[in-house]
Amino acid sequence: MRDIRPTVFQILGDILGVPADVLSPTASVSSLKYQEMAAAAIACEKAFHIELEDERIPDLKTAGAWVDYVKERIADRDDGRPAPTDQERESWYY
Amino acid sequence: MEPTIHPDHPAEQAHLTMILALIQQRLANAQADSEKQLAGLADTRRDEFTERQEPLLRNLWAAHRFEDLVHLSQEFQSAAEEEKDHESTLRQIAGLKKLARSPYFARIDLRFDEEEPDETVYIGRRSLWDDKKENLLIHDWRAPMASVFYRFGAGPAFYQAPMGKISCDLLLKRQYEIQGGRLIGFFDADTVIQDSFLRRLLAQNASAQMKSIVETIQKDQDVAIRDENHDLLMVQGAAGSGKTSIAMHRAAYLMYEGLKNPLKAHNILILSPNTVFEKYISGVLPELGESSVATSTLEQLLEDALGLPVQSRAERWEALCSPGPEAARRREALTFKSSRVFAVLLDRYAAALPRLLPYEDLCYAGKTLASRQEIRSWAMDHSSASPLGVRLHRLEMHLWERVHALRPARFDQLRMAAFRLGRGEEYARGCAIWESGVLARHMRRITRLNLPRLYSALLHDKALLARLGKGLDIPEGLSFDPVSGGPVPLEDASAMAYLRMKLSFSPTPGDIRQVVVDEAQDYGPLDYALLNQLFPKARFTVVGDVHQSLEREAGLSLYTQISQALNRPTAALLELNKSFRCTREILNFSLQFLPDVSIQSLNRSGAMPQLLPNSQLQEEIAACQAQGYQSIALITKTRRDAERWQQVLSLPMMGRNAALGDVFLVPLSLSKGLEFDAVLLLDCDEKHYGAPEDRRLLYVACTRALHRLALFAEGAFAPLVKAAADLAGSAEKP
Repeated sequence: MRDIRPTVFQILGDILGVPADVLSPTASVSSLKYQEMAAAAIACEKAFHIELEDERIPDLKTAGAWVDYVKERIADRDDGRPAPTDQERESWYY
Repeated sequence: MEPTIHPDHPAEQAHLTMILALIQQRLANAQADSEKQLAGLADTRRDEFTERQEPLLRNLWAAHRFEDLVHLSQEFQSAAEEEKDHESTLRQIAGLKKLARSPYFARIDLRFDEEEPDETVYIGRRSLWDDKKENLLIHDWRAPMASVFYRFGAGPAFYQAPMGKISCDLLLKRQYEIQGGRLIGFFDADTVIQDSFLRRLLAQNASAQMKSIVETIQKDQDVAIRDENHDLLMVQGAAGSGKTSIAMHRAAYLMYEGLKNPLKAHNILILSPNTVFEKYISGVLPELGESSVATSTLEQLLEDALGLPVQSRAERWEALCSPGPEAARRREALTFKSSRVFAVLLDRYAAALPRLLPYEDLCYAGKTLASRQEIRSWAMDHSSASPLGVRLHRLEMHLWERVHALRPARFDQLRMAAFRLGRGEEYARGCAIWESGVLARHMRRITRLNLPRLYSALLHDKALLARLGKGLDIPEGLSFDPVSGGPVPLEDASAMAYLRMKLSFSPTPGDIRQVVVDEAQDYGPLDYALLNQLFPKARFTVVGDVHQSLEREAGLSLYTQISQALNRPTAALLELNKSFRCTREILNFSLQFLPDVSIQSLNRSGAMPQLLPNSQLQEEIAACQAQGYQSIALITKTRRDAERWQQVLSLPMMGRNAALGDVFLVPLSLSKGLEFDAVLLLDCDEKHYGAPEDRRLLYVACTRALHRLALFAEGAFAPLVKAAADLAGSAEKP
C-alpha cells in the first residue's frame, strides 16, 4: 500500500492551518469542528476513492488516527468492495 | 571428589578424546558450511537485487501485475530460506562448542538380555550421533533411557519408551566432571556419593542467573520433569527443593524432539512472580540448548486483557504493609476477592446482567431505530450460546447496518435543510457526522459493557450483593475505588478480567499448550479460574510452596482449589520435602518459624545463623565479602524500608536491571524464588515482625540464604525471632 500519510497530513494541515510537515501521528486534531471534520472526510474520500463512515469520524482524535482509519477503509475497499465511482460519490452528497 | 586414578581411567580418557575429536571435526565442517552459506547468501542477495528485484521494484507501481508480485515474493523467499539454513548452521556451531566443553556428564551400563552384549549409554545436555547416524554416542538427558540414570541405583531398572515399558539391569552408574574438554574426574555413583557430589556443587556460590541442574536431578524431580500423563501437574516443594528448576527443565523436556508431540517454544508460557525473577530464570533454557519461551506476570496478562494499568504485586505488598486500618481492610478484602466464593458471585452477576442492564430506545433521524424491548430481547437471547458481550456486539453491528441503510435518505434531508439555510455540502456532512457521533455514543452506552463501572456497581450495591450472594459468605464493606487514571488494584483487576471473560469469552490469542505457574501460592482460586478461561486448551504445571505465601495464609487445600478451578481431566500433586539450598543450620533455624513443617536437609554444614545489633552490620558485610561471597542480600520487609536503608548505607537496590552481584538491598517481595550466598535480614524488631503471620515472611527471608544468615535489629529483637534463635541454638550477640 502506498504511503498515504503525506496526503492525509496535507488535508488535515490545510484545514487546521498548519504546514503538513509539522504534523505528527500523535498531533491532536480534537479541535476540529464538525464542519471541518466533514471537509477533511470529503477530501480524503475524493483523494483515495473511499467512503468514511460518519460515526467513526468524531473518534479520530489524532492525525495518526485519521491515517489509520483511511488505511482501514482502503483495505476494506480493496478487500472486494468495488471503489465507488465518481457518479456514486456525487450521489451521496447531491 | 578428588581426581581419581580408577582402573577405567585410561579407557575413559580415550573415549573422551575420541568424542572430542569427532566434535572438533563436526565443528570444522559446520564452520566451513557456514562460511560457504554466508558467501552464497551475499551473492544471492546482490544478484537478486541488481538483476531481478530492483527493476521489478522500480516498475512495480507502474506494472501492477499480480505475476510480478508473485515473482518478487518468490525471490525474497529463496533468500529467506538460505538465511534460515545459515541460522540453523550457526545454532549447530553454538551447540557443538558447548558440547566440546563438556560433552557428557554421566554413563550408564545396561543389560537388556543375558545373551545380548551390555549397552553403554553416555548422557549429556544434547545428543551426538556417529558419522553414519546409526548409533547415538551421547544421549540427550531427556531421552527415555536417560531416566534410568536419575531414578535407579545399580540393579533392576526400567524406563518408559514410546513402545512401552522397557526393563533392564543397571550395571554401572558413573558421573563425570569434565571442564573445558578436560576430564577432571569421575566416580561410580551410589546414593551416598551422589549426595557428596551434590553437596560440593551446592557449596558453590549463587549466580546472577539460575543454572541448569541436569547433572544432579533427583529421582522425584525427574518424575515431575518427565510427567506426560497429567493435564495438571502440581508440585508442592519446600524452599530450596528445586521447584523452579523443575519447572524450567520440564519446559525443556516438553520441547524434546524425541517426544511424540514435542512442544515448540511458542507453545509454552511461564507465569512468574515478577520481572526480576523472569530475568533470573531466563538463562536456563538457552543453557539447555532450547529457545527461550515467553514469560509473563499476572499483571501483564491482566493489562492485556483489560487494557488498563494494573498494580504490580510488589506495589500491592507495599500497600498491605502500610500502617493503619486501611491495610488491614485491604488484606481482608484481598482474601475474599481472590477466593472461589467471589468467583461464584461473579458467575451469578454475569448470568444476571442481561436482566440488570438499563435499556432504552435508540433513535436515528427522528425514528426509533430499536426499541428498548428489542434491545433487551437481543441481550436476553438465551438460545444463543454466545456470552452477553458478544450478543451485544452483534446487536451493535446489526443496528449500524440499519443506520447505513437509512443514511442516504437522511443525508438528503440534511442537504435540503442546509440548502434552505444557504449552506453547502460540508455543512450537511458536518451535521451527519455530529448526529452519527451522538448516536454512536448512545449506542455504545447500551452495547459496550463498561467493566470498571459494572464491577464497581456490584461491589457498591448492597441490595444486589445480598440478592446475588444468597448462600455465600460475603464480607461487609467491599469496595472498588481506584485512583482515577492510576493502576487498578491487582485483586480487582483479576476479578474484572474474570468477569470480562464471562461476558465476552476471548481466550488469549496464540497457541499456548503448556502454562507453567511458578510461586503458585501467590495466586488465589479466582486467579486460577481466570487462567482456565484465558488458556482453555493448555495443560498446566503449577509449582509452589504454601508456606511461602506472603499475603495470605495458604494450606495444602490450595491445591484442591487449584485443581477445581483449572478443572483438567487428569491432575496430580507431587510433594518435594528435601531442601538443597540452605545449610543444615540455616534450614533448622528457618524451620523454627514453621513448627508444623518438616523438611529434610542435604546435611551440608555451615555457620550458625546470628542475631546481631545494627552496629555490627558493616562488620558482617565485610566478613561476608572476606568469605568471597558473590551475592550478599540485605533483605528488608518493604521497599520503603529498603529505601530508608539505602539512604544510610548507599547500597544499590536490586531491580530488573541490577545484577545480583556483591552487596545490595532487596525488599522481601522481590527476593522470593531467588537465592543469595549470604542474607542479612534487617529490621527484625517487633514493629516489623510482631504479628503471628510474620512467621511466614521470616521463613521466606531466611531460606533465601545458601551459606550465611544474620538477622539485625536496633534494640530488642521481635519475640518470634528470639524464640526461633533460642530453639535453634543461635546466640544473640550483644
